[in-house]
Amino acid sequence: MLLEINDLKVTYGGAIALNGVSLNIERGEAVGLVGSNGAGKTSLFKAISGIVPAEGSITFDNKDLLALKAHEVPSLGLAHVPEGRRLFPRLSIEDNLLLGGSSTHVVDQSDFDRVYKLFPKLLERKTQLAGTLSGGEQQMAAIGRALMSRPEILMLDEPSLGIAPVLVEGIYKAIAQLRDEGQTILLAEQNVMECLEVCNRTYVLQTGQVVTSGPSDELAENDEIRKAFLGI
Amino acid sequence: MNVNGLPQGSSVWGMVRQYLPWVLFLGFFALYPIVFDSPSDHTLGIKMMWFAIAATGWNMLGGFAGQISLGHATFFGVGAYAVALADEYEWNPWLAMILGMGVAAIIAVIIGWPVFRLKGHYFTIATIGTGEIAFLLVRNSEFLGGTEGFLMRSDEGFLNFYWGGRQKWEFYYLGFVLLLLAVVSTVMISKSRMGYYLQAIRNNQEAASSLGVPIAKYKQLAFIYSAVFVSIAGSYFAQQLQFAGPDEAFSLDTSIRITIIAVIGGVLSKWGPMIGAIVFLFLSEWTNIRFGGNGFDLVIFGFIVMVMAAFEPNGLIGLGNRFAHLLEKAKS
Amino acid sequence: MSDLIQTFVNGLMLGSVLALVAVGLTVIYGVVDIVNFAHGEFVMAGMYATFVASSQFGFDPLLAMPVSAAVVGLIGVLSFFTFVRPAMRGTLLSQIFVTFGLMIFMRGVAQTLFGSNFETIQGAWLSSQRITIGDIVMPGPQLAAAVGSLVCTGAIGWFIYRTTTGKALQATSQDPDAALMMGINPNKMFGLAWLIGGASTGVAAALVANYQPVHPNVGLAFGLTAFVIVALGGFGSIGGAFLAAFAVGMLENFSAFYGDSAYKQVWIFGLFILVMLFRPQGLLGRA
Repeated sequence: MLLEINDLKVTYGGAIALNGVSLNIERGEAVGLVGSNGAGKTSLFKAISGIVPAEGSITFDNKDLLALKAHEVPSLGLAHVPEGRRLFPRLSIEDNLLLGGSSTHVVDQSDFDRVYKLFPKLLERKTQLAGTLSGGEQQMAAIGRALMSRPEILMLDEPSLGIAPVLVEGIYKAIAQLRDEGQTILLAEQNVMECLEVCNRTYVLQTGQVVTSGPSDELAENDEIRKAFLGI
Repeated sequence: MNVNGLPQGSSVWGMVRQYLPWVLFLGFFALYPIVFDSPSDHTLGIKMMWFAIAATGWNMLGGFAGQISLGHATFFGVGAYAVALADEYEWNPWLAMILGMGVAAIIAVIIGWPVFRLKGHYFTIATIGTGEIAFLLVRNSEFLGGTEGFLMRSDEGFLNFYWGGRQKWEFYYLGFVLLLLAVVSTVMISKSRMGYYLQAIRNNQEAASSLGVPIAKYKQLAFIYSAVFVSIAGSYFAQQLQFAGPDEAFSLDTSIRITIIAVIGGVLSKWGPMIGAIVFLFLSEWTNIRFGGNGFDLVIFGFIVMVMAAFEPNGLIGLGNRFAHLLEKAKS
Repeated sequence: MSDLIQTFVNGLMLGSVLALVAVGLTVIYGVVDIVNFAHGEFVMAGMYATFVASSQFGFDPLLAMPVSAAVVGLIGVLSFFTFVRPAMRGTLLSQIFVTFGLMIFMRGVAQTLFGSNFETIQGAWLSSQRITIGDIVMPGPQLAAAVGSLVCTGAIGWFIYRTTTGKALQATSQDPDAALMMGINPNKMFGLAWLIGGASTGVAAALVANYQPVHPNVGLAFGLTAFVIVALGGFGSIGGAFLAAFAVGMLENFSAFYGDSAYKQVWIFGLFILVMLFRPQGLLGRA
């Protein structure tokens, strides 16, 4: 098991964001996490990245993530593409990509080439400041930046949020391509259809708890689950 | 429930907690010149009074409204120069002090107009700027005595705001009355709508503004209040020293001193500036005697302010509250 | 006419030194989001370090530059890790008071160690050198300070805009949480910003000590001018601080040339308040 989460609890002040979530991911899997706004997807991601404190256990490759500081997590092989992309707005695309990998290893040209091959548009825009890009291009850059660290597992938090539908398609194509190359992926989405399509397995999160999970195609075919949890 | 015939919701313990600080403070300040009765003790007591009045005034803006000014020496100077000029031109010093309060209020409005457009650090830096401008203008003005300032020769007597005898308890108690005025008005304001508005402004200006608090108006009111009381402290200071000079009254050092006093005591409480004045006076006298007047007091004050900022922003009052909490926890 | 050119040249030389002092302040603000109210005292500390190196160990002020840089850089790093870092978690009040306390503390230490007298460095190599072009005179120490400051400011700019570590500093300043997700250790970056801010100020201090006496309150004018420059240029903006420094250098020299030099700071603060009124984000700052 590459990533194993057991009985994870996250609270902000008095408010419970995650209430005993368990989840696991095998190497090479693409795992989805669906749920509405406030279900706890972002809290789960932040807990894995060490940005918010959590109780329970998270082990990655047999290492205890909760014992680490947030800035130590990426070098283990977890890359987090945060909600809202969070590029460094006044650095160029190239520099954003550079910083994605520079604290985990010495970045070389092949890292850039891999990203530019996946998103040729970024190559055209590489000297442009990140803040001047469109939402879709920024999302590509954010995914590219995460890939620069050569991650074992790529965590994507709502990559379709606030992006024109035409561009969403392109981004999901890239995600599918990464999956086919064997990249382990954890994908959080409100956009259920896209998520079920690209992920092997999916967890459904409601008010901080996993309410159901299973292979994506089974969830999609089960009428009760579709009605009760997926709203499709 | 009605306990011991007291109004609902209160208890003997509550009454004690509410009024004990008043008893302690008023008792301490009222008894000070009787317990410590040498002329030098009285001089120290008078110093303590003007520290406390100035810091209480500063704190309405700096503590209650959370707008840290490092330019209040301007108002201190206005108060000091008002009575100095009165002495020069043989006006009544009391009238001059009141006039000085009015001038301080007007200057606060004039300064407030630009500086309140700035927030946080920017505000603080802008107040350093206005303070330095005032300092340089006064220092270079012949009418205002230039770099020398004014030596005063007040006649004795209440009407002349001066007692020259060896025992200076009269002057001390005058300061005590002025301090009471400052504290009582601070309490009244903090319990009024203005007090709540200022607290809202300190906690989150944007939120306060979106809730409809007229922040510009209330910041300005707090500024005027604090300017007026700092100018009273300045008048009191100059009458006591019989001197007003730019370096003593208008310089950044004066602003810094007023600020240190409030910060050490605790800026979130009305008692903070008074505790600060006592501790400041004690520590600066003690270091002067122990190490000579060579700046070692600044080492101590700077260190305390850093420690307070890092670990207990509400100064000694905050430390006291923590201690009280621990005691209560231990009891239950 | 040559008076005007001389004033202009003086303004350039002063502006260059001010730029270095201000860039140190703006780097700290930009990355750590704290205004170092003790920045003028950093200059003072560097000048005393230079004075001691010169009077006790016979270093020329120019050779004392690394000493001064190391001393002030260390002061910066130490203050960050002892008091500033805990205060960063506090309210705005804490964040203002912590460097305010540092300012008082450093002044006190200087007075305690060195007394309140003016100290002048004797027998510096450049003290009697000068370059004369026509009627324009450039005293050696001032010229060296201007050139040295330009070089050092350029080096800081190169580091921040061209190296990976410098880019990581920028990233931390623009979005600390995102930088954290990239594995950038924020405390390391904050400490580095204080190191750069301190060390560069130390260099400026050594250069200034070559021609200006030192005393415990010498930092006041430098600190205030640096605040004005940084606010004019837009807090956190290096390019803005650089330009504003020359504007202030000119203003200081021309106002003294045309008027009473006692009022030169009035003009500087007047300009500051005017700009704050009409462009609160500074000349080059972002709204």
